Amino acid sequence: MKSRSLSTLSLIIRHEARILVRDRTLPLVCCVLALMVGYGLFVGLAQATLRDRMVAQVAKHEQETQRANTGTLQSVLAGKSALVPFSNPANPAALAGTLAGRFATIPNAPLAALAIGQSDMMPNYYRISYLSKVQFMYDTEIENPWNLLSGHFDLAFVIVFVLPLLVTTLGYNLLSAEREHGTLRMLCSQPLSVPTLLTGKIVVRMLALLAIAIPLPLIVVLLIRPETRGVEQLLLMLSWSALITAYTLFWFAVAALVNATGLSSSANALIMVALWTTFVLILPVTMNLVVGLVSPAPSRTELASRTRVATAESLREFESLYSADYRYASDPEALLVKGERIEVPSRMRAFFLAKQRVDEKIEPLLERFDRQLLQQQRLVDRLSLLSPAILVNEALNSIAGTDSRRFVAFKDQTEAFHNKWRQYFSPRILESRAMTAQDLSSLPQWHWIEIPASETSWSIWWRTALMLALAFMVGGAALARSSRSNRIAV
Amino acid sequence: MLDAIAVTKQFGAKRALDNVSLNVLPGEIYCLLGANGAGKTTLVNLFLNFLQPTSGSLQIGMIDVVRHPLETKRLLAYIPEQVTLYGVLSGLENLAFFSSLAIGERLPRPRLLELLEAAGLPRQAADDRVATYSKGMRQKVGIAIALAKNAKALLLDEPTSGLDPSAANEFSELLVKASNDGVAVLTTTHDLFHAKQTGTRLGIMKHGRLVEELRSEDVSHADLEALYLKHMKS
Amino acid sequence: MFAIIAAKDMRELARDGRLLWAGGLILVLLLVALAAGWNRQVQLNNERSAGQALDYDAWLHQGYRHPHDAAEQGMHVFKPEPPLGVFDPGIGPFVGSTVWLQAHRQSEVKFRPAQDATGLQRFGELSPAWLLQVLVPLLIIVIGFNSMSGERERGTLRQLLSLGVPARSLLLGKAAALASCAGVLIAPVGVGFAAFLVARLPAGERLDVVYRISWLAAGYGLYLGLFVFLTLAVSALVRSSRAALVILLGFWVAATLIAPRTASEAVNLLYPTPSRLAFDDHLSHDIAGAASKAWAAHFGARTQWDPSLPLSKWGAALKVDDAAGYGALDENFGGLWDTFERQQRAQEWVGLVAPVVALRGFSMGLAGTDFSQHRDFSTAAETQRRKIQDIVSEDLIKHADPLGNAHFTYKAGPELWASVPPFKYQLPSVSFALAHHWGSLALLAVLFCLSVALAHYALSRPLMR
Repeated sequence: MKSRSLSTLSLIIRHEARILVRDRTLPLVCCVLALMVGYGLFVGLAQATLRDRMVAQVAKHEQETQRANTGTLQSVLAGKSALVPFSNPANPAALAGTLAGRFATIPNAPLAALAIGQSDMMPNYYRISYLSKVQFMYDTEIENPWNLLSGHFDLAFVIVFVLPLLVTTLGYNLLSAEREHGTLRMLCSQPLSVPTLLTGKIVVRMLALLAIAIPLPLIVVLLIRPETRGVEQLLLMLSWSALITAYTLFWFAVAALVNATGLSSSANALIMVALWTTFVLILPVTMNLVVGLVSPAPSRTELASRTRVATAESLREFESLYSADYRYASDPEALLVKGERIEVPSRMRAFFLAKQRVDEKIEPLLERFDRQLLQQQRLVDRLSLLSPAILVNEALNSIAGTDSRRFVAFKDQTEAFHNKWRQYFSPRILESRAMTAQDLSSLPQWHWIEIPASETSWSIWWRTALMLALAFMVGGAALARSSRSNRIAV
Repeated sequence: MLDAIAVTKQFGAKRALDNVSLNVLPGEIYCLLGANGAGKTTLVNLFLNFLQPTSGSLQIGMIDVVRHPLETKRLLAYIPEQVTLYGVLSGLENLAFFSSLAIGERLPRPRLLELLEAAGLPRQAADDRVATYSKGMRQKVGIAIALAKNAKALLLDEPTSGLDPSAANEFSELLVKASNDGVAVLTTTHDLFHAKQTGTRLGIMKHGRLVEELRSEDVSHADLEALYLKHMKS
Repeated sequence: MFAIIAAKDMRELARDGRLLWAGGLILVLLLVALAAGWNRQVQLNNERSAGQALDYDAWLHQGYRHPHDAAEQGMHVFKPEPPLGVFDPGIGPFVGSTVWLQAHRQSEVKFRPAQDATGLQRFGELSPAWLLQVLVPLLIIVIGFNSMSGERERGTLRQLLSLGVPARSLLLGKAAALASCAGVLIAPVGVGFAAFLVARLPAGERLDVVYRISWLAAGYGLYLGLFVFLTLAVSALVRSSRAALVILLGFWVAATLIAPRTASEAVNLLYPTPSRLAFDDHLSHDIAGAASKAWAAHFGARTQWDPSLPLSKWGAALKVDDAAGYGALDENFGGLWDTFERQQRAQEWVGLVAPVVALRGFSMGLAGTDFSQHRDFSTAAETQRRKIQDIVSEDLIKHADPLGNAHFTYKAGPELWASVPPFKYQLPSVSFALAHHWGSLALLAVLFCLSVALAHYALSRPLMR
């Protein structure tokens, strides 16, 4: 009995494939999908390459500055070059500030090309110096705001937005077309159950779509980006494939359920588009609104006011240093390294101290922003249960390493590094210790610590599992409904 | 072979079939006559399990239709008024698909051609797309499907309506041939002449009830017409 | 004649579940979007006007201080939210509204709200403009796809034509019915909100906002009208309702969702945006070049700290340095912003196939939330910064430079702070927006006429085939 229904299923599959190829629906839809996947991937690769290049450029910058500083230091110590207060690397305040040339960078995750996510908006490097956090942490990548508003045409867009539409194109009239055409009566007069018919039809369509959507990007990425060939990356690719399969299955299950109601093709198409609009367009924008209302970000205006107050206070606090006599222009000899000491001009010392004080004062407020963002993210995680589109989008971004979480981690690590940078220089500036060549080569180094893989993979797999469960629930309901109602044929 | 036992079918407030019982034996051709809306097609749909009876039961070869839909459909062949097939496939491909669905194995091409020929489809049309076929030609593919299935029971819904007289005659001959092979045939029709000609038994339905059952050899054409009109008028 | 047809169609639509459900949903979303937008705007405006006042007050009362340090503390200026930002927030979430005016460097607008939001922001913002641009056309398609094909399928078209109904009346009647259905949803809310908005504004701003609203109404009218006639045309041209629906939905998806993204990717290839690193490097390089040239010209010195340039010339040096930088800043930022505007103008051509692109630019422009008006604000803020800088340098030359090495002991007082005027920014008027966006409106008008012509052609062909 089992083998009989299996052979029926395979017959249906072969038959459907032939029909879909003959009437050119399948080749057309597959071509459209292949084009879009290709274009989306191209855009993703271009963005990832751009970011790679930026990180490389920043690293080069850093090395050049390092080399220039070492060179200047040597010639200064040898008394060869003129002394300029702001660009003498022996002066710790100068090296902590304008001469620093230090960067905190976040490298692309290996699969970055698969989704652009937040990476077009969040900076992937910060310039580290003794400046206050408010002065450098809010720099953003340069991008036309119009383009940010439109969004990118990346692979994640193709999957989250377009793939369900192609599923709809292939699946809105699974049964209704056969009924309207009259062939359903013929089919149902044979020993064939409607669930088998429905399953067969879905299997063909799904295989065709997935045969393009999954291998195409993975092969291209594997070929072009060698860093994707690790075990960990292959596991991520596996979860990526599972996620897309689950999402596609979900939409096919919805199409099956809609078809099982026995309405006309036009009605089915309307219902499918209504569902797509709800899940993919309306729910996410409404959720965005809800998140903003339930867990609003603290006021940036308030931050600006607090910053001003803090700056004013610290200016006042170090007033005497700021207004000290300044004889270095006329007496450059005063800036010579004497033994292990160097005179740090009091105004420079004042800058350093004042910025440090500003940060101390606004730190609690900045923490509130970070906390709020994390809280919002947690809310999004919960609300994403309402819309498969949000669920999948979040998971795709996590796989590509372009989600907010990774950028928040980057910001946190940068802040820590910024503090470390200051702490390194603080005693030297206060004690007027001159920087030596050895110091120059042992300055605090930036290391990006990747988010633990276990954390990422957990966040991906629970979403995939949920998506699959959802797909099976809807699909089960569709099959149960279609087997109960033979009236479908009438 | 085809048994309806006290079948009632209710659509909301409307009673489409009211306590109808009939049986069709192997080798019989049972013609159901009646006006539009008398319940003929409903009965056919019930045998196909497209509808379920409100009360009563239907059996094909002593197997209950509702409880074992797949088994009964294996015994059954159905030719609707409009045989609808996949337009982008050829007649042969359609036959290949439906016959493998029905019997679970793929018949070889020569056998398929043989079946189409037996159903009366011109050999050269077998590989044309069905979209180019006339109604009669599609009907023939339908018959070929039934033949391939080697069905024990044949259900026909207005099979000759819209066919030209010669095609209708050809069709009737095929029916007679099938019944001679021991197939039970149930057909609905408006065509008293053909019913009398080919049917072995006749039933007249009205408002969901089977009001008259008679053997075709017992009545003349004229008597049948008079009887039919009498029922239609009252 | 056409009124009879319109009345009949409207009755049919009213009895159909589609209008009720889809329209109801859109109406609810519209109200939610307006309420949320209004709430956000009131809150932001209060915060900003309070922040701005406090900030200037703090500037005035900062006590005695070296003017250069005062410029270091600087001043914050806040971009006022245009009243119609409630309707269309435009690029608002992706540009900030706060500028910290400090010495030495052109400050950029900071704190993009989108940075304080989650990835969900990227799905879009629930705004009335988004609803009108994306969902209302879908509604028109959903209720209108079978308005002609359905008549044909039911056989009622045969009836109508046999009665001698002219094609023009049929077209106008059907269009009127579809348009009124959309209008019934939007108009009461729109008019009500417009009245509310205008009434709450100070009298001086009212006229400008009324003009803006009228132009917006014209733009959206053309856009939605385009969809009405396109729907009718396809419905009449295509064989079945099903085919009409599939074609129209395909167009909707391609035109409202796919085209805008494709367009923005394409123009990025055409006019590439520089990376921040490249931009910053270029800017620093230009400023340094301009400054050293200026020092050489004014003081014969190579660098700012040249021994030949004693502290007694520090104020003068600062003035020269800043003035030299202005040119480089203008050039670099101007170049970047020109790139953005070129990108946008190039995209507007995509409006020929995807009207939403043309409408979006027009809508933002008239709502006052587009890039050109953002640029206007940024320029005004930069002007204010330079004003502060110039006043400070002048004062340094006058009072601090004579002090020699004790330059930094000089402290200016309230009179100097008061000589910096408060930052007053006037939102550009409607004519500014129109000058930037008349092209989009013309494009929409042309597209509208084309769709009317197409519908007319579709209905004047022999309808029974």
